[in-house]
Amino acid sequence: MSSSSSAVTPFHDEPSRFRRRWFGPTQSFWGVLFALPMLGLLAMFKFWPMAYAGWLSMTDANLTQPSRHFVGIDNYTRLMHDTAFIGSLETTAYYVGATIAPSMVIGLGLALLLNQKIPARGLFRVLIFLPAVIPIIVVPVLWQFLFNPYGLVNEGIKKLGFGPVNWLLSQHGAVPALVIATAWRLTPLCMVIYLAGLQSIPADLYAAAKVDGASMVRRFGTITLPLLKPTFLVVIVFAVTLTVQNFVLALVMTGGGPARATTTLSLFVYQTGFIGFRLGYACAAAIVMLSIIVLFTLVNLRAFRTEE
Amino acid sequence: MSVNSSAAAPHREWLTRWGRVRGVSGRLVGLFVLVIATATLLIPIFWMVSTSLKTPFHVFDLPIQWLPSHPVWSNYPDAYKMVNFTHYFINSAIVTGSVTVLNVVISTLAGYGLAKYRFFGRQVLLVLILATLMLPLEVIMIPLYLTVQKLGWLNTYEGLIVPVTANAIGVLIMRQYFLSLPDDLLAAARVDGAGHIRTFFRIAVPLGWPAILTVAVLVFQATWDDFVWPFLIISDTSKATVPLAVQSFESAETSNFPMLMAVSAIAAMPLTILFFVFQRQFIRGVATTGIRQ
Repeated sequence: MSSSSSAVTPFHDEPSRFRRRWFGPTQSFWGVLFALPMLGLLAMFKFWPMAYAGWLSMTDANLTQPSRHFVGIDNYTRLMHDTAFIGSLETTAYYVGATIAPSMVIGLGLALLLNQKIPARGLFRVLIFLPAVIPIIVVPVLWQFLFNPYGLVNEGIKKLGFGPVNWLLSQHGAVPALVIATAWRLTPLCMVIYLAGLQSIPADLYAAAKVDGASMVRRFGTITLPLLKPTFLVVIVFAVTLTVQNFVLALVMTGGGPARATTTLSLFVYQTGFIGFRLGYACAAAIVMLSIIVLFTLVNLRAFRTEE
Repeated sequence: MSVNSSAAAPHREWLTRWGRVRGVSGRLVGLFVLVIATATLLIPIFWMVSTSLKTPFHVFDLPIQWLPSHPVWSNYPDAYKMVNFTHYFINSAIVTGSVTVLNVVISTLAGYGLAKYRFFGRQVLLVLILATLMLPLEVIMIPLYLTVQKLGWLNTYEGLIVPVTANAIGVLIMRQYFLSLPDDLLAAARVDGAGHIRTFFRIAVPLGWPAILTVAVLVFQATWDDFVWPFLIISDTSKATVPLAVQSFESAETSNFPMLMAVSAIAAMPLTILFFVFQRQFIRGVATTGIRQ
């Protein structure tokens, strides 16, 4: 097909491929010109720091010492034997898993409800989204107060007949407290993404299934879930990336304690770099963090690939 | 099915009536669940406002005082003065305004260039740009800090503005929007003698307003809300933004809960108002991209 079409192409005296690409009738260089300011900024503040992080992770850079030496993969091998780092990996896995599971399930439930013909749907959507509008720095301040030993959460638990929990100062209470606060802000964001996915499913499909006598559960299983597959991918990658990178909540609510129980990977990077001044070592941990995010995204892309 | 339909008519009628009842009751249950869920999600915000109107002695009163019997409205002016909010609001406005304007302009240009022109390496460029969206600040915060330090931008507005402007989320939104813009429109303008820049400003920008507004709201929200980057590079209160003021107040007044909640509520107000005005853009921004920051 391509060979025959090139044979009948009437423009035999076209300029060379190179000339056509750069100076041809499509005036291509304008595209680059329009993109140039953004490219410059990204090069300076994204690509360069990324490369720099890779380099620093292989040096013994320290904020207090001007000289840096190349140490190869020493930082990475040391990370593998660092109990604080391994602990932060475990904490991150627990924190991220426990946070995104309820956020994704409740978010989907809310989105399904809001996708029905329900009175004051717009109002509900706005109200449910409100936690996501609260400034990120206010979230830990507010939840620190709610998780106070005499705070609202413990009062609620008492009403249900349980004893009070020392949320922020005990090893078994601190991570669940962080999880609840994070899920509170994450759920509305997941809900909104699901809702967009649900609204892109053509209503005719449901109408047709209804005519065929498919029950609600069946319609959910055979129409909603399969067609929502790409949305699941977006939500899960979004939720994981957001939760892995976030250390503001842990920093303000618990400072990583008690006994490092809430030191997640990103907090480990911050503390090692900006409190301990070990820039090279912190960058190695940051690269590990990025690898986890990228790997996770790729695995999900594969797992959720739609068979078409 | 259609063959038996007349014979099974009474049965079917009953079924549809039952279906209708079930539909209505199902909808009622759904509404009930939705009300409970919404109320649960809003309790923390309600409690923040309620506590901000109490005196420190009545914060932990039992039984729970959902509404203060004597609201102390003066907590708000007091909190405002204690934190010196005006100063931080001005700083936040300078930083957020600059980032939003710069980013919107640069993103619109880039989105247009990538959507409406073909050039060698466009696909690679696009992938590279979109890859930066997956790169969290937390991964590059150390080299970025060192770069900004070398530029002499620690504790400056430049440091707060320029690195934050390097955000490709707007490029993604603008490109998608411009892809749906018919090429004929642009071609017609060009036939009429308009140059590339003129076509961009006369045709693309006026038609691109909905997407431009979405980008502006998204970037404004993310920048106003940003805590980590200012926290890293600002140690001087003269350049500090609102989130930093909240954090330093929090670490100084850990147990004065009414004041803390009043400060939190004041800090939350600008974005909340913005959200009520631009709900559509807020929600669309999150929904269409799924990736923020």
